[in-house]
Amino acid sequence: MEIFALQKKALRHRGRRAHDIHYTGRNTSCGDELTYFVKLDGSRVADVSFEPEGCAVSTVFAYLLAEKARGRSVSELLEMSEEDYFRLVGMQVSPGRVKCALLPLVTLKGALRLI
Amino acid sequence: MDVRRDFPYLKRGIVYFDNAATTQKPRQVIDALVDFYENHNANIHRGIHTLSEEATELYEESKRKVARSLGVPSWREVIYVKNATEGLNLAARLISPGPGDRVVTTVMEHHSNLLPWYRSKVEFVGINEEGELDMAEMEKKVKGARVVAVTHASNVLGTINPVKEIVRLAHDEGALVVVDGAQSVPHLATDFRKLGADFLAFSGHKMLAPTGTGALLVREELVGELEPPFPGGDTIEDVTLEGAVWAPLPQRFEGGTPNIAGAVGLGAAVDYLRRLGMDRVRSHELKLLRRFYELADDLPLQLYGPSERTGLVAFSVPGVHAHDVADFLNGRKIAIRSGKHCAHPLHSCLGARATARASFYIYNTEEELEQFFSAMKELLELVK
Repeated sequence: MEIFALQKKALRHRGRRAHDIHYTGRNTSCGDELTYFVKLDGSRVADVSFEPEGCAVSTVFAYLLAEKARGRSVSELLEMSEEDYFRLVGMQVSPGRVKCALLPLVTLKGALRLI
Repeated sequence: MDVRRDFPYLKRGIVYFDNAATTQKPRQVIDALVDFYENHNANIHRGIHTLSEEATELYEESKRKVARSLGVPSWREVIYVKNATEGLNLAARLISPGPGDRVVTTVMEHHSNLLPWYRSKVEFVGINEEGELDMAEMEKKVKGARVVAVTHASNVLGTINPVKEIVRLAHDEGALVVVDGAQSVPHLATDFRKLGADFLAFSGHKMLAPTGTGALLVREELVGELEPPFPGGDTIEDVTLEGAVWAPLPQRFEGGTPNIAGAVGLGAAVDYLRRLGMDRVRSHELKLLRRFYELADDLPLQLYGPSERTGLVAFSVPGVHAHDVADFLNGRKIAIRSGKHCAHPLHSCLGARATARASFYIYNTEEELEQFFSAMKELLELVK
């Protein structure tokens, strides 16, 4: 599916649900913002919802990571490498878009560090 | 313009609209680089041998070409640097305004003409809705300023600032004028003497020359006696255990071995543009701009900047991030720029997170614009 169709799908899932912590990540060079709302269940992530304000790539990755993070341990997510992240999400991007694609990972880690 | 046969990059089949970032290089410039390395390579200014003398002559001849084409009274007033950023930083080092000095600049500057001044009290002149400089505000703020640092042409809006008028206002107040010519020298006939500015920096690589080339144009009577900000090899006449006697311009400000081959390439680029004529460069860009506006007319694009401009257009597609626009066009072999173009304050003023920018040069064609707009229509259909 091309990126704009994926973006439309991701945007249908945007929103803020019940959460324990939230964190806003930013790519200042392009003005993108992403807020993750994380609900915890002990040392695991119970739910992740999100509010994106950015490009299609960061929005799609924000949605996919939110889906994949559910049920995973906080420590596993905090230790996740960029390589593992792209594998988990199941999408690759061109070199120029890596920064866009990484915003969700950086933002989720930022949220989990608040615990 | 009948120049496309000179540009080898065209064999890649890419529509290159990112010329404000850097231009492509004609065969003549590439050949000049190869010829230098194959036949004349040596260090300059110090060898009493044929190759060194040839290299020195080629290096200095390049400066004479720049001086002649840009109305600089003496080639000694052409200081070679690696790009406009380094040139503007060199100007700031030479003027060296203190924390109490006022530097007047504009909200449309590239960061390269903002950050070197941030050690002083910086005041900003704003723009009107069209994206033109507020000259009434300039007239007020220039009073008591030590420096006025202004771009000749905006790298986002394309606005061409009235530099001559700004120089008059600044000089009446005893302020020095530093001009960022990165987006004007490649596109508009430029006469440093007639502009009257005290410093003008530009990048060679934005006007067909190799990367790592650029110049700061100076006035010898202002800076000829100043200490070199980067002393070292080539900047001296004599060194003792106590100190140094500095070399005259331009070596005084060019510490160490410069980009000699790049300079030779810059000379070839200047020759190329002179043969073409800067008036023809300008009229070609105006023709492309007219066609751009015609084709954009019935599309829901937001265009930034005034109608009187250099050959670039920054735009937004409502609801689509600039990076996504650039990515989509890249998939159709069209290269544009997206982001804030090293002008964050300007984007804040415009209320834009990021913009897309198409910038043109001598080898671009109306057919390429048609390709661009056909891709844009496809994009607009997809995001409906």
